[in-house]
Amino acid sequence: MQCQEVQELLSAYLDGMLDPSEREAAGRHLEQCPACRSELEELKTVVDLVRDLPPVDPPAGFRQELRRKLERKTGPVRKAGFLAELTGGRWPRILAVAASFLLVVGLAADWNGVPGKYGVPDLGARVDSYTVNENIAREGSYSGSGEARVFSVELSGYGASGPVQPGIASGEAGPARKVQAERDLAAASSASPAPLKGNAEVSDESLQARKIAAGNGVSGMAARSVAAVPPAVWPDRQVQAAVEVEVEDKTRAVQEVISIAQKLGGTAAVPPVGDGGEVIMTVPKDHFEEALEEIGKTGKIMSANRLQDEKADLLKFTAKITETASPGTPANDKSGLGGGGTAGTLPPGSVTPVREPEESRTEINGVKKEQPLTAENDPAAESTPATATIRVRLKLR
Amino acid sequence: MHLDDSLLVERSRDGDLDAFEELVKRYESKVYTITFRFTGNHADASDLAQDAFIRAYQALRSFRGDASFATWLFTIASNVCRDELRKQQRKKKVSLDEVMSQPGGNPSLVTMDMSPQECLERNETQDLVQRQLNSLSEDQRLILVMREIQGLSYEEIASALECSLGTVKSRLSRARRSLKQKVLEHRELFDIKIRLPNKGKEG
Repeated sequence: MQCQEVQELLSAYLDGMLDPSEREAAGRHLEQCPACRSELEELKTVVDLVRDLPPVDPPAGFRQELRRKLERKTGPVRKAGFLAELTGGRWPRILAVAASFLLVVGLAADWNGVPGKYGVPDLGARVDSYTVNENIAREGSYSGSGEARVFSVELSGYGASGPVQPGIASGEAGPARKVQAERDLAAASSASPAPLKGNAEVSDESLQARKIAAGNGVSGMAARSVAAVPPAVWPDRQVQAAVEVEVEDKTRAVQEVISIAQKLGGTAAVPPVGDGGEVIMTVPKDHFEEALEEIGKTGKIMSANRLQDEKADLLKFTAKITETASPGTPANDKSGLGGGGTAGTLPPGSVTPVREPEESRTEINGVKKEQPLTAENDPAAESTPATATIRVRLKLR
Repeated sequence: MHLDDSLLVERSRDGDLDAFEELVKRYESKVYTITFRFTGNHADASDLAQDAFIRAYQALRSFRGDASFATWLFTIASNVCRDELRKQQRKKKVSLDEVMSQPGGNPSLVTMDMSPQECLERNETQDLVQRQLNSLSEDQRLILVMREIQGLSYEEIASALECSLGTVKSRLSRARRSLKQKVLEHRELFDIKIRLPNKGKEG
């Protein structure tokens, strides 16, 4: 056997894959040929180099991305109810975030003004994402199970009266439907004995009730459920900034944000709908920047946007709400809040509303069912609140 | 272990993505190693590994359980690499590799680059081996991954590549010898970390 011939067999020789006769011939040659022995050794070293290469772990998020792709191909698998998935499931987190964002957009719209009119954010990109969510709302992507139907009530109340396209805003019927939607939600939410209410609180609301409700909101948050409304931070004119923060621990971050608000003499609570990853905080205007700075310390700020002022529209809207809401609603609210005011993680006294809306409330009540308020004839419009409201969206890192 | 696998396979067949995710958890590292050693970079490796799992999921009905799920899955992984190879051969995307273009070495064409960050992160020798692998032709790299990384038998490789046992023998031999050649060309780099036997070519 020639060296050339033998060297072509060495690879199979290493693996024991030669015919017995070839093997024997190659063995004999190797005994006598140092060059071929060296060749064999080198080959073996190189093969071992490759075999010794360590396993490589896939990058972070590999499985999550794969799962997303698989769901897109096969359609999501729903075993549990949608609300259960919202709170319990690991995978539906994306859906949950999308859904709660949608709801928050609806809520923010209500804070910001009349349905159909929107607090236009600074960044065009955000407008795009609103539009996308709007589409989701109209397609009714979240209906399908029993619980999902409850959810779609909320969507019709908040999202579908949505502000991006005035054409689909429900106009006069909007507030009434909204209030109804909130009642439905309250009935469905076992976590909260307190009926949920929105801007209607402006019509009849005592400081005490607000305090208790704030306490409720916090306890509900701690239980990680769709909890009671925290009216203490409800429509304080509008949300002036929206911040998205990536955090390690959502529950802890929520607590931190609440602490920040308190430290700066404000309030914070988790909105009644959503996945508990959202905090609305209201702080004295002087501390606005400081609040944003502090929020930044709870995690990594992904985005921060100032939203535009839509004060006049808000006033109109609250006046309409006052008209539409039945007189019984505020009374029910109060008793409901009283019954539900248990075991807040914060003592009610520690949650102090930044602004006592005494004047504006009186005025709105005064014109109830007579004439809608406008920015021109509303005295409250002059006394601009000295507070700033920040919507903090917490996302898991 | 395999009993569990078959149970999970059953459930995955019924569309239970959680069950399938459990299987992914078990074998993602092995599958990823295959695709990474083949592509030499994380972005492409990630895509191919995900393709492999998606293909496996979609083909679960055709998995009859003759082989273990793991074996079946790894075959799919190397098939995905093989298909990528064919795609690559159609539209050659080539770029120069810096190490290869050092004095004394032929500037070699590699299909994929690694970022400097990726290089820094890994052990130098392993990195160099991977670079030499990258500098081989894709079909040589594939057969080396199948044999040395996956540990497939000649028969298994032959059936995966749809060729004869003799072809596997000669292809593998050629691939190993070219890799050896590459390594020897950069001997000075490897000598820092390992001792290659002295070359005594006089006989």
